[in-house]
Amino acid sequence: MSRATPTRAVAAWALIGLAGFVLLPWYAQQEGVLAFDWIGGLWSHADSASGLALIAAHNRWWLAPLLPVLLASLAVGFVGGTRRQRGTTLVWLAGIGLAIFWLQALSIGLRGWNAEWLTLTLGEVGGRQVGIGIGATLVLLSLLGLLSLGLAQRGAFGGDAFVAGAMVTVVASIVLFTAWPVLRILLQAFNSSDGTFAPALLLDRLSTAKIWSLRCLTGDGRCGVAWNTLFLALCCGAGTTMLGLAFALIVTRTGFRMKRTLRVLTVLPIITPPFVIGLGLILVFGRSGVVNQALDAWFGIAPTRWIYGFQGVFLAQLFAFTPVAFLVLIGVVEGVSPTLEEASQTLRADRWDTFRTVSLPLMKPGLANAFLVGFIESIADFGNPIVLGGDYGVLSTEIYFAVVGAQLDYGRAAALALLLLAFALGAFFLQRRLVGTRSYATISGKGDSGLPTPMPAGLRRLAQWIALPWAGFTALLYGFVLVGGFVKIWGRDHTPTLQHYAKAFAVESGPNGLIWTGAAWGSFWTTVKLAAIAAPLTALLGLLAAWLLVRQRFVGRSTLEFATMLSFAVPGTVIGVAYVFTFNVPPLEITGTALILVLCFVFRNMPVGVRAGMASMSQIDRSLDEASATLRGRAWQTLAHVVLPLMRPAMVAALVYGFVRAVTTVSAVVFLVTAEYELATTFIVLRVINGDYGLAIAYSCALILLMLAAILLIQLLVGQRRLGRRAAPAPIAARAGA
Amino acid sequence: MRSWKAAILAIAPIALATPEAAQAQGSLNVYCSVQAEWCTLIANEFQKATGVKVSITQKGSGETIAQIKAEAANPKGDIWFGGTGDPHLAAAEENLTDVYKSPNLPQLHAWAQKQAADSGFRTTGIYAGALGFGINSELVAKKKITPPSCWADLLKPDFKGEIQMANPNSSGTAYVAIATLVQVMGEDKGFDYLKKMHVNVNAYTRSGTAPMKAVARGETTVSISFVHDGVTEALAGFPVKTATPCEGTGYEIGSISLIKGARNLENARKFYDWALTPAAQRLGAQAKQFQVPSNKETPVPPEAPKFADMKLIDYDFAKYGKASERKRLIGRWDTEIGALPK
Amino acid sequence: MSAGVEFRNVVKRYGATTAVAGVSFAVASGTLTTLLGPSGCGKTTVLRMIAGLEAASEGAILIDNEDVTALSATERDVSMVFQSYALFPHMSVLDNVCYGLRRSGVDKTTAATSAQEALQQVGLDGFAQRQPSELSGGQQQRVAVARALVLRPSVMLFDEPLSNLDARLRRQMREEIRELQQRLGLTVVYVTHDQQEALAVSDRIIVMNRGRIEQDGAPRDLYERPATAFVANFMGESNRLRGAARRLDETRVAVTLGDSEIVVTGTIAADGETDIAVRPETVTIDPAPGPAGSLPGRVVKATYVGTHMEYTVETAAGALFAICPRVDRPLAAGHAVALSLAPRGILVVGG
Repeated sequence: MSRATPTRAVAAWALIGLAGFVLLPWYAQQEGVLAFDWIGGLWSHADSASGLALIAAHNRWWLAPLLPVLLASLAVGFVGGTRRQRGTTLVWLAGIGLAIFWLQALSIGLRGWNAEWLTLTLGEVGGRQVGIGIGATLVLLSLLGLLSLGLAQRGAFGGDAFVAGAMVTVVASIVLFTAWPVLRILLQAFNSSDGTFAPALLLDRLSTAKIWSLRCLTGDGRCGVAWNTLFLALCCGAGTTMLGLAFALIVTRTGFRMKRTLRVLTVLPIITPPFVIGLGLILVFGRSGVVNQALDAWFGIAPTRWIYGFQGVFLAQLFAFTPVAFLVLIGVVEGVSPTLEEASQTLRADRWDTFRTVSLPLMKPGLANAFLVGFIESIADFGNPIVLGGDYGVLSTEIYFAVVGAQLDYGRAAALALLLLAFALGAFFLQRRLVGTRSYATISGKGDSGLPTPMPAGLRRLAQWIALPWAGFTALLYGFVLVGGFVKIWGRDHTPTLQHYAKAFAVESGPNGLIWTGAAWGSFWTTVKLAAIAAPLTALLGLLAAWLLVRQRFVGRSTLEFATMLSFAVPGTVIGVAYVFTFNVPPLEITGTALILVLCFVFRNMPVGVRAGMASMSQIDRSLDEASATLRGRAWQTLAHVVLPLMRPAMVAALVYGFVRAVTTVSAVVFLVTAEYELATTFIVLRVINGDYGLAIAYSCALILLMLAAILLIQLLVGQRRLGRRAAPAPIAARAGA
Repeated sequence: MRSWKAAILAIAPIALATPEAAQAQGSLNVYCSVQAEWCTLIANEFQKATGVKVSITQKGSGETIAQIKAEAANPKGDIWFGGTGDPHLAAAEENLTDVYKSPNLPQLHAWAQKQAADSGFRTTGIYAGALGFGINSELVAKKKITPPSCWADLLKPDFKGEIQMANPNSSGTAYVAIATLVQVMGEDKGFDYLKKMHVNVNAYTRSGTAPMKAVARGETTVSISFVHDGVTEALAGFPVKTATPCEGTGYEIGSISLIKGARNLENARKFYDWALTPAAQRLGAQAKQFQVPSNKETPVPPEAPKFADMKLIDYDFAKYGKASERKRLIGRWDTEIGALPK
Repeated sequence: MSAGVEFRNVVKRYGATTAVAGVSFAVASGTLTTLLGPSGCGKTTVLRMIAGLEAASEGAILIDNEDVTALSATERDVSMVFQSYALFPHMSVLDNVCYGLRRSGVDKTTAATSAQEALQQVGLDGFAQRQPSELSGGQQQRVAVARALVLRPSVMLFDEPLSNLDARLRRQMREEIRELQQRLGLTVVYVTHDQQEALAVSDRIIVMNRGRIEQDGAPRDLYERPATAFVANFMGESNRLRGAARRLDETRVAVTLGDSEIVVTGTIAADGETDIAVRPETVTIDPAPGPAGSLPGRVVKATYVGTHMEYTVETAAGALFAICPRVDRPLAAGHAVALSLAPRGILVVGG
């Protein structure tokens, strides 16, 4: 039982902090730290000086208190005392250190004091600060590490340093990269345009007829965007749930042969870049689309514009979000224990009664969950309303134009975002209230020998009549889209051509090897790289947070759970602006880097990892963790050797979503991309705006292929969960969507 | 803590990646709100002419001003090239851009010089485009409608449900249209006109360029748009014709502004001056964009709608570019037209 | 005598509810001590606190005379066999048994050798490469034991290890566990709610009720001299009667049941009505009403259960449940009988 003693870990963390403080430049380096041009100026030059040099030679007195904190922590590593005493001391030291760190970082910025009253009361500070660099980052990490050790030694989190560290990591990163920016931008709702605090303005902003008018009901006006959003979301939730259920029933309860094809069809919309479905629908159902043209030519029915407005958005959202509902529901339908259905039948119930009185009620929590997912996806959707909405305004588009439109009103955007958040949370809590968090789905390792009851004939026919035409429809739509990349002008000049692909992805061989001359290569590789970095981080952080939420008991559990969900319910545009707002200024000045894009991906998509992880984790018997603990497995070893291998499906789900969402996200990153780091989606959107649909479509198809390849690769790398028993059906993305 | 360290190790290389060492001439960050090819062209040409390393970030003008505003505490861009004049004027009013009087100013058309003066020399016009109608020639032929040539034509019952324009709440184009009507007809008559036209409008889209695209794809017969956008669609192979109203019409001035707090101020000024020269302004036509360049010496591309053939009003950018006036007019549009039933 | 495990006034609270209310005991090294009690009595919580899976709210826990109260499960030298076995479903039997060794830093080959040895000890050589799901319940149980055993822990804990097995296997397994414990001289703390199992395997039994220790002693003491009504009732079946008791001296009490007075071992605080427990197997049924000192009654229910007869007899002192080994001449309901009670089967359990 030889292990690193806790005191040695304390000394190590303290030394890391001291190294950062003494040996590395405190502030961010213009040319990057790897340029090593700072070495010469480590003492002499204020821009590249270490923390120690800044105090001693450059009059940055406010950094001075950090040094004794680090030295004292180092001393704690070497002095005696009980574990508990050491822990308490460390928690205090790290707490004071963190407080000083943030206090100085937030109050002294690019132009000295950040707030005027500080200048007035304390006088000029005599120095300015740019963003923190490698030195300051190490000090920050060291303080967080010491805090974790201190908490563990005080006996928190079962005295396990890894659990404490994981907790500090998750909480600190969520506070930094979700809560801080989001709250910052939402506070704008209370500010007037010149930045003064005026809470009454929120009421003003939210109480206009444009949001709440109900005049469309009486026929003498339009309804407010709030009602539009709600109505659309309710329809979308109900519609996707119904379609998803029909698909799930067909796949699990009938002898339908083309299940594989059906599965592929249902995955497609999830990995489709934004706008593609909307554009495809216009080509099919638009006034000049094939359907209208055919009706006009054959029956003389005058083409109409019915696709624009509520109907079109609704249809597009059905296309886009039915797959998610399907993936949620297939797990639910499979999870209904056949034995219960058999029990029902032995109690004189026929198939229809069984379905109505046993199966359906058992699926109720799952159905509610699918509805919730559809509802939230709908209110957060931006791409479809913008393409097909016509003048049917919804909150997400309204927010976008409040930010980028003719009004440039952050306050209004923040107020509307608050409203949107309220809708999402309202739906979330209502669902919890009505069906609770319990799930009757009974997937367990104990083999269930019953056979699923076939559906009643009427229901089967109904499901088939709903689902199969819809599947055909999806296939048709994607056929159209695919063709769009191979014709000269989509919807106009259908001469076959490869010019769009050539323009995007041309490769020429030059004297020094291949030259990637296509217009899309730059953004393509950036996207692949960043998504490939973001996906594992998303999964890791998400599953880690899920593990803490499910397996650890601690105060503030539900607050943490809520915080992890926060970034999911805030519209992308708002997140994007929030990130620029928060991270364009010191201390964390990271705009214009790839880091901010990765962070944006990770923290925006993490909720999916958390949900997938929590669902999967609660299926794993807690005694396995405990067995590992009594067998000398430390918490991290338990996680690595027992929990994670059993959570492969959730891991696949989190990785796939992390990757796919990073590739397809657009509204959140519009403000974060730069010349150096352009992304595929922003490239596509610009092409769509220019009307260059062929190129946009060609690029989208390439991305779809990329994502399919990535999904296969992830499944190959992560592998299957080996249980050796009757395989518990793994509703992979079902959990993810939930 | 292990995962954390791993995460840091994974990100660190990118976070710390060094941008290529700037060349001796320094660098310049341009926010570009014109079409992609045009942006690439100006970047390359300017770099060739001066040796300054140019980074181009292309975004719509709405997004760009939102970005500049969000970054105001620590600006990352140096200069903002192109895009409708309104957001440039709004940026000037919000003190997001800097005063700069280019030595090339006297070479410009009167409308450009006037706009620069009106803005207190915080922005300068680089091109202009007139407001007018986009018309789908196939649809008018099929429906046997006479294409509109005057504002008054749009009130004809022929056009019931055939007109599309943008919503001024979100679109600068639509605001220019309203301000134009107010200037052509007077405010009350202008709103009266909009109310009458409402029955013929099938949608007020969120985006300003959407109506012209709808015309191109036959989704609507007529749009109220900038006419040069119609030329672009026609060249792409769509059956689009354009017209400018006989009563007179307004125009947008695509502008250039120096971002306040620019880090590469010298290069930004160099770029500003260069953008006003015929050499730079020729590039628009090369990228198949057909606005009218602001420098008198720049050859006007033959495809461009000729200002001489239009009846242009003396658009009062000083008055209608103000935030307060814009807010008032949009508010009036909201209550009198936006709230009407369809 | 060195104490393998010692509890000093240990309290465990979950919010407002108290699961364990001030428990103290010491478990001698090399013995098997059972925590016995009904579900919810706190016995499993005590076991989990020994393991370190739950932290004590108050008090001190010592293992091998060392205070481990603040240590986590990983840092304590104990291992545990779970009710659900908790075999890792994604690992082979060998990997399961190796798990603890590998986590303690033992290299792979050494760990495998030790694991094979442990498997041999539980009679599972040859099963190393199987998956847990391919084993029967009893075999899974043995793997769980081997997995705990291989670490040579100071203390081994068993949490209702037999509750998932059928009756025959249960008897066999409990004998194996006891045999293994005695052969290797292990210190074992064993949790069960089955008094028979407890009696069969234990050196010592601690009976718990509502978070407290009711009685702590050798199996025979507990069965024959329960300190409280609860223990008497819980340890085997007993008839609860009320009767007059009179203190004779330090150790003897005279109990009056019906017409007869019987002298039994026990103590009472004061003379008077008291609770008396009568073990059913110590009641002798005489088909002819008769001898002096016997208790007359009438059979109201007779049940044949193969090895013996079970009777319920109505008497002046109340209904009595009795077991009669003679099955060849069963008595029918309604039959008048005379009951004689053996003194060793009468327990005075206090007012």
